Amino acid sequence: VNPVIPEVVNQVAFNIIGNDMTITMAAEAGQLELNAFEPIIFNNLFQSIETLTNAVRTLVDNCITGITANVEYCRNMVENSVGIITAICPFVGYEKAAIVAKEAIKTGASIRDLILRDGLLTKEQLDVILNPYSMTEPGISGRPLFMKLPAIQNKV
Amino acid sequence: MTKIDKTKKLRTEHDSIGTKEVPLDAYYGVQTLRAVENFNITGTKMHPELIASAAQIKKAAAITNYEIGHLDKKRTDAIVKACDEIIAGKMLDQFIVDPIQGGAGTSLNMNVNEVIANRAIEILGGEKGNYTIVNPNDHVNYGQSTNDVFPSCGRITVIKLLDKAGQQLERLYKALVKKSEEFDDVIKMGRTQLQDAIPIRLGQEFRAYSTAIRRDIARFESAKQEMSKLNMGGTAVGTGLNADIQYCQKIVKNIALISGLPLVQAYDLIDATQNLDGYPFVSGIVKACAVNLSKMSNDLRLMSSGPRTGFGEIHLPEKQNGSSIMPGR
Repeated sequence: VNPVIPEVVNQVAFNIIGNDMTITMAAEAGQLELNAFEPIIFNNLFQSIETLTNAVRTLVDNCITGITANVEYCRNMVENSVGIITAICPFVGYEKAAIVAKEAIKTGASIRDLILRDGLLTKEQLDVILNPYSMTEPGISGRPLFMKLPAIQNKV
Repeated sequence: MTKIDKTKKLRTEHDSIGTKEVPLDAYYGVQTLRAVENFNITGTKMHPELIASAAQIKKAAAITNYEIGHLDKKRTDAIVKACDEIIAGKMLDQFIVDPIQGGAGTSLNMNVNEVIANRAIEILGGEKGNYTIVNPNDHVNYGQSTNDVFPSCGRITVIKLLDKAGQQLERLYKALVKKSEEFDDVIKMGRTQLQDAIPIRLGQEFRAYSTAIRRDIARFESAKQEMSKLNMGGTAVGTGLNADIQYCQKIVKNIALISGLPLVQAYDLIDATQNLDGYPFVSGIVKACAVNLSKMSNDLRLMSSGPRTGFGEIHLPEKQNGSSIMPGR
């Protein structure tokens, strides 16, 4: 099944961008007391606005409203990503974090497993740091835990 | 004078170029037919909303000219009735000039003038083409020029179309906000330059789309404002020759009243007749919105790619078979 609705929206956008060039050239071509090129300006501007209206209508009715998320798959991608090392970094320091990240990329092992294997943090601590909400809001993820932990090299 | 040949169902009209046969039942006249011969360009018709907007302007002009004593009551009433019919969507098949035309819109203006005149003649009990009863130029177009009528009806049309677009954008905004709430706890990887970055919630991504659309909605409002300044009363070059000073002061107010739109007269009619920077401004706003929609569509295509070898983060609703050769797609 093809993403037909986004595809039609893309094409409408391409056409609107082209119309804008036509409209700009026509508007630029006035001489002295009149610009005689309003017919094409109107023709193309009406088309731009109207096709945009129709594209948005089908986008809402036939696409956006019915979108579902592949929740588990998305979560697994995060768990298996190397990117989460960025959230762990303040707790273990950049140098150790970089070593773990490199090994993860090289071997395909998960960041979580490597952190546990090396005893850098506990499972409970990782659960706090890698919480979906705190990891996606401003600041250090798991800040209360961060404040409690003693003597981490990067701690400010 | 117009000659009528009822056996051939034609009437012969004349203009400054010469004579021409017009179908007897046509409301348009000789000048419209010449435009059709000259401009067979797109194979499409003028936008119905433009026709309705032109009729609103013609109605306002007739009323204004009556109010200042330049048009008699009998003709005014007939012209107004004809305009009301056009505004209601009647006689749409009589507007036959191509949207892309030379002459700065004169053909559209004359098509409108002729249809209104002939319908008004009919209302007054005359035969179509008898322009002594109601004349397209001397009565319907009185105090006007194509150069103030055409830009003004175009602007009114743009406002009406922007309004409809705004309503759909509002629906899109709400749909995106709803999705952002629904997906608030869906954690996924964020990407920069298509490389793994750090986590983000799917709801946050949809929230960002909604914010962009919110911005577009606000811009569409300013586009409507930009289009609300009309050069009516300026006639040919903005100096207002042949438009009575009282007409100049009243015409835009009457158009606003009839259209129900917050229209104002342009501050400088000469500027408003020659400088069309407002259109690139509005087109730019529409383009910016299209860019937002297209970027979002690109993301949706990417995120829904798969099912086995793509991103596979979201599913789009299945709308039609994807392939004529690949089963299951």
